[in-house]
Amino acid sequence: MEPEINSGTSDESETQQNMSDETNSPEQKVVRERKPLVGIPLESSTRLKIAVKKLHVCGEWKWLQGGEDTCGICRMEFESACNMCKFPGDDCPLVVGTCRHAFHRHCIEKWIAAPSNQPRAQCPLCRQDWQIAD
Amino acid sequence: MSNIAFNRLQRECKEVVTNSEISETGIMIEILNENLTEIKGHIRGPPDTPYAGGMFDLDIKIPEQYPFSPPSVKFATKIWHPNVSSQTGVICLDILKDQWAASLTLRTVLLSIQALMCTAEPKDPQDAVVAKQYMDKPQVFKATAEYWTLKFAKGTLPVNADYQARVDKLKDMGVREEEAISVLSCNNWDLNRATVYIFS
Repeated sequence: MEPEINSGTSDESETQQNMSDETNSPEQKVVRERKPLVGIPLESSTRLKIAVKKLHVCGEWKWLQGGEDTCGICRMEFESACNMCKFPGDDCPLVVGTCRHAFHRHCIEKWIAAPSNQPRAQCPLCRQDWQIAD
Repeated sequence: MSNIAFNRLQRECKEVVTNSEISETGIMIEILNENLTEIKGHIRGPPDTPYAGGMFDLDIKIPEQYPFSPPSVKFATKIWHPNVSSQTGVICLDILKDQWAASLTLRTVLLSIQALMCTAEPKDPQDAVVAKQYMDKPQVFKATAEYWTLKFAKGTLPVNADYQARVDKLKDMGVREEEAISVLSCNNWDLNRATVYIFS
């Protein structure tokens, strides 16, 4: 989280709250007459009154099946897209074989389709017959 | 080259270069062109083998379908080994053919070739003449492989004076050194048979 903070001493015209000893200046009065922005007052031990106007929320996600590894075929992290995709996520999911090895779906599909793997494909890591685990 | 091949190779090159691999295992790669279709591999001859002290170069060509097809790898440095053609450097190694897997990398391929240098498979030879010598005359095989390491892979062992004298005799007859070494090696260093082979 990276809250954008405006302190009361700021001279920005949008500032909602100000330090009490400055409320008499005419300039500040103009500000007060404006419609105050909706802000979340934060508890503060200083004399500043702080309102959070904007939040940038960052999230992190991980495939549950992937563990810490990278895809053994394209060598990219599971959470990044395989080399054939632009965006990671649902468009480029993981699949896990019965041998418990995981790959990007596009990578393992391409491996299975490779001419040398017909008629039966093996897991590129352990050479067991490749079958998608339920 | 496809996107996946290029991106993966970039990562692989980093993997080999950053692993301080050369000091620990003696394998190294050298990039020859920007689109990474041709790469030079280097393998230091493993200790306690006839290849010890030598530095062997390999030509690596990356196919369009990499890593779904294996890279083509052959020795650029001449080597006397049952599973490598003494004439062309072609390597007989299952993972470079039907046992290739998309999870294998340049690093694991070079390490596999290094392991092959430690443990030959004479029953699945690439060069039948070498393999026969390996099984029938192991002492001659060892001395020949050492001589080749010295001559072609900048080896550091002292030269086998006996072999060198025979090579020099053929050279005196106008035979190129490389051909002289090759023909003598294929004839178990029998100078008469080598001479007959060359001049008949």
